[in-house]
Amino acid sequence: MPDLYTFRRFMTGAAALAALAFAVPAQAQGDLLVAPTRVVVSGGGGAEVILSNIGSEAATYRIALELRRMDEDGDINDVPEAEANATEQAGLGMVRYAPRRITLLPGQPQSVRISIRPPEGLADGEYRVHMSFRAVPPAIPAEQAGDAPATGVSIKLIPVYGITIPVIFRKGRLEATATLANPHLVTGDRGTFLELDMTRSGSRSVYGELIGKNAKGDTVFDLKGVAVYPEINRRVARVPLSPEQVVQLKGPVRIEYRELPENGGQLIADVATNIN
Amino acid sequence: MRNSLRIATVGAALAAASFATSANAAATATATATAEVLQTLTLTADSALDFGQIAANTGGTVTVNANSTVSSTGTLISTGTRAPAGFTVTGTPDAMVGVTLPSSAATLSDGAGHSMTVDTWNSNPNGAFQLNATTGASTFEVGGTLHVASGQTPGTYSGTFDVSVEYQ
Repeated sequence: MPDLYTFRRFMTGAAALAALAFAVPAQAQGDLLVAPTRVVVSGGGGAEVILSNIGSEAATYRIALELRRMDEDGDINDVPEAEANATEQAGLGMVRYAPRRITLLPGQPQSVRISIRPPEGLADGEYRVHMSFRAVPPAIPAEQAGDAPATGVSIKLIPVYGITIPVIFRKGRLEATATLANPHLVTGDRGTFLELDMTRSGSRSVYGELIGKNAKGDTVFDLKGVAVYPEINRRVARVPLSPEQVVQLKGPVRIEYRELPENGGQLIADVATNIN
Repeated sequence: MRNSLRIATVGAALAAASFATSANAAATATATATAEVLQTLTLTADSALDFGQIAANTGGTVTVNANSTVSSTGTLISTGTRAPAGFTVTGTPDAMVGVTLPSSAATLSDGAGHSMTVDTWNSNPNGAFQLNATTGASTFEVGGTLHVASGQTPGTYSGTFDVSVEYQ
């Protein structure tokens, strides 16, 4: 297909020119979609996760297992494998998945199969790894790499960006409870937040949504997908509020922590207070 | 076309997932027995982390923060456009998303045995943030500090750094 070939030559040339013009060309190859964004397996079995290329060019994605720990601010921090504790190592050892590398055309989806193989005698508990889906950056063409400026230094820093999802395996009969406490407004550079303390006890994570209701029973905010993972017993949750929401919250409020509707929507914890 | 066959076996789920921008369709796509569903999450890169042009002199650092503030130390000369990397996350409206940055420095190499590092990674918003209540889309930026040695050999240095997002 000579036309396509010419076009691709042209595009390669254009990309090289762009690279010359700007020390760091924008890198949009590798945009991606992942669904679902949380996998929970109890007992045995597995799951499927769909990865789709939503970029405008073909891209290769690498799928890997990583470790994360939540801190008391609710941030999710990378844990190098060398620093893994016994529970995290057990998690890494029991998750099988395939494929590990996928090349997808634009708009093309593919599923990744996950199966959990708990070893004999595994202690009851919740085990979690984070499955990452990352675009492999294309190799930097030789003519670009060799095109060094005569003086000075130029930088080509390519983000290997992706999505991680928790893959949770629960063995045995696990229980957990949570409490909410100390809701209060905090105003800073980034606007007003409702801050509250969440505590967790028990042998598994808790996960749900935080719903704020005012005196009339109207839902003022609904913060979805709030987890407290087993490595922490308490965390702070910060709910961003618009000025309208702040006005609506004044007075007596009730904050509920509920399972997501698709998981039954049961109340996990709640707290009532007066917002001034 | 092995891929096509594989896609066919997953059938309806994949058909629904191909509507990448439709969050509601994706909810259907993932209704399997073992997965809790929080719809979809997408990540797109909008702009690259740009440290501009640098004349090394006796070295120093160039900092491009995620909030777009820039600074430099030492005797190096830093010019040109300096900007943090920009990304767009799209998912469930109102959901919290956390950004994970590299826990260590990234090394940039010129392919001829010379290197520099980038560390002090930071993101803006700092920490987890909530996706837009209407569109489900939000942007974030990533910045860091580049360390340039005294008499750093001129050339093009390339390297990678890992950024990932996850529902909190």
